[in-house]
Amino acid sequence: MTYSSLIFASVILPLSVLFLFFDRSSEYKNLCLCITSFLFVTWGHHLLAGALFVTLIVDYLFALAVEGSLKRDKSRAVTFLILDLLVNAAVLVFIAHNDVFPEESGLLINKMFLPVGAAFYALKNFAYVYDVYSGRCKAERSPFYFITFGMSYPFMLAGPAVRYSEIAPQLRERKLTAALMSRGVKSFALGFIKSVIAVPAFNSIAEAGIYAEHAAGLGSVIGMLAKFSAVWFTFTGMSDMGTGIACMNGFDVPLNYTRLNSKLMLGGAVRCYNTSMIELFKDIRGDSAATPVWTVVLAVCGAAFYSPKPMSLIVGLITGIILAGEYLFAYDRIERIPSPVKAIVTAVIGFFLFSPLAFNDFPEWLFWITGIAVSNENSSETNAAVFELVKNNMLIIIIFLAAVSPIGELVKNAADKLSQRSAGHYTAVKVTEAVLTAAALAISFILLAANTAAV
Amino acid sequence: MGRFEDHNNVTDADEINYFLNNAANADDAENAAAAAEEKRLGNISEEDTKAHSDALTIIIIAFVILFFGSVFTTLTNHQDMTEDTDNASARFGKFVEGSYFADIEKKFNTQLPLQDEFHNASILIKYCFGIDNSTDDLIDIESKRLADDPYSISQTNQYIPVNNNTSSEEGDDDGEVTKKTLPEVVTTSNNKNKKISGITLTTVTNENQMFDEEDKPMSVDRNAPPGNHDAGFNPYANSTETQPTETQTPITQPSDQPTETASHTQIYFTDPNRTQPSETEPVQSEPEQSGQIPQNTDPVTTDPPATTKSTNMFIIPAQGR
Repeated sequence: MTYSSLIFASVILPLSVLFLFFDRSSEYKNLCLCITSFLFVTWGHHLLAGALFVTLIVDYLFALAVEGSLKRDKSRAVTFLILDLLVNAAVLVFIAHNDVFPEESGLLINKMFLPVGAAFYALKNFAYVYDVYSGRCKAERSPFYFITFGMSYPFMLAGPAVRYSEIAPQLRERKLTAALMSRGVKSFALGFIKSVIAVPAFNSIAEAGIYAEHAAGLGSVIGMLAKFSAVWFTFTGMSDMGTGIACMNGFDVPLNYTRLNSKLMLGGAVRCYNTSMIELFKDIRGDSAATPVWTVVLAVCGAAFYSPKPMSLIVGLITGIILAGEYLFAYDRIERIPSPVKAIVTAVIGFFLFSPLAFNDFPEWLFWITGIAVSNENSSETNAAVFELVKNNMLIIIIFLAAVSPIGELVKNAADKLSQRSAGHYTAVKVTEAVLTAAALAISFILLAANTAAV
Repeated sequence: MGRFEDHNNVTDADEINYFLNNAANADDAENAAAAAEEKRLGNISEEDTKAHSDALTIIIIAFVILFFGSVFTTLTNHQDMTEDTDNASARFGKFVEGSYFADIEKKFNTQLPLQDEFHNASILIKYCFGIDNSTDDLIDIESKRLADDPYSISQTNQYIPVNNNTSSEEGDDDGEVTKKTLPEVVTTSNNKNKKISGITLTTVTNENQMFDEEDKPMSVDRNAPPGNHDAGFNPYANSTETQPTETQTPITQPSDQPTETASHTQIYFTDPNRTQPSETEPVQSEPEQSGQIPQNTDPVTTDPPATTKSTNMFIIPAQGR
């Protein structure tokens, strides 16, 4: 089950939120959240998929051990930290990315036993132990609060993989205010709309442009751009929904992404995506002579987080080298470069650098990249199909791409200015926003129901 | 000693000035107090406005979610649900294996209510937004309901028994369509059982209509047990009409004209005592099949299939796990 499942969005989520109102205590809310989280993670999977949460015991004990060791012997604390890293890395590789192993290796696990969200779960728990090590927060003594933090399903699929230091007070006391609930429903609705309307549209163009037998020329370029858009909206959509669910459960948490920008060129673009992981890597990297080396290492680790395939690791290595170069070149010099130049250079670098992630192996990518320049009689037919799809989905493309571009920022600023004129203007702007969101949400439900029934 | 206490040195001018100054300060003080109060009220008003807007946002968006949730759960089509005969240990086994919840979701997805309406709505929405420029896949819900629904009957007609002999009645011309009204059979207050207030039985006869067994019109009962194709007397039958088989020449309509019911060539009988579907029941209408019902008499043309692969929108990329 995912956030954009029909049964989850229309039945399970509303019921789980309604149950929260039966009691005001945080303990009751935490209990409801734990039960819903277990149900969400094991839905459609074997009950043993919930055994993933047994690793919480390991993180809980290691955090206490790290905190205790810091006062006496820092090297022992480092040892415990590394052990916790190995445990969470094992969860990442053997559970989240189990499909990497070949069949004959004997390491393949039946998918019924593999829970969802294991990657972000491992990242979040390691971040907690690291925060205890770095002194950012204290080790949690109460198992119940820690289990709530570890199990919470809003923090598992594409984040927000929050840091424990930000959320610890809210685990003990939080209120379900109108502002938080409003933000929650709106955020969830926006994420749902992205997942149901935008992602399939961009995916269909990507499939036609990249994976068609005779993909070449402009059609393959458009297909790759559509693939990037699909990946962006998938991630941000799930992050929106996760944030919305967290807000509906009383947590005030940030989004796991920021608006796309090329202010720091490739570094700026990379930082927009999965900001929780980027912040953790920045903390680990620090600022020293070894920072460029750490940048490369962590870039490879980041790529492995998404996919441990060789192609992905190579992309991570090259990305790390470029980021290290930007760091050495000094960010203040980069900021002095004109924005249009930065935007174009970042777009071109990013296009070719991340395009291999759309393919399974290097020959496939090579075939695609040579096809950009070479057209044949068959590719024109493929391109025609791509252009037809682009034409059919033009409105969706315009709306969603405008929303993530500076145009969307302008519209948002204009609306904010209008809302500040008077109370009446404020109400009108917010109600209009809510009505438009609700209309798009209703359309999403209808489209999803029609597709679900047709499958 | 205060200003007003030293009466020997205070002049009238001083007193006047003092009063004027105090009076001005008092005005300022009052204005300042009034301004502060207004600002405080403005802040309260701003907070109220935000709370008001937040409440409206929650109501509007939550209404949509709850509306669709309640539609999906309360209007679920239960017709095809079979009884769960598993015992407790089997159910526990399913729960442990994960198939319990998977079955729940599967049932939820397959038994969504108003599937045809949602299908048509999605096509119209896509058409409005220019996503698809074709409405050929629209389902004719009314025709489908009349053809598929075994309880679909006219209220002005009554039930009459049907016998095996489908020859025309005395006095009727050969080949003419005769409409026989049938007496009222069952009325019930159960919401799930529709009131059968009368049925129209239309028979198409031919003077050469001496059927062999294999030429007998197909009679299909949606709820009949497998293999039961008996078109004999059935007091609870609520069929609509007899359609000629391929070996017969249609009498009532020209053979070269497509009809709305051209795809339906069976008689539908329903027996409340029969609960199992027939083996030969027509294929349940699906959007891609039922959509072929032409809206006019022009030949139906269909667009060539798209060259792209179908996309499963529920595939989450690796970073989602």
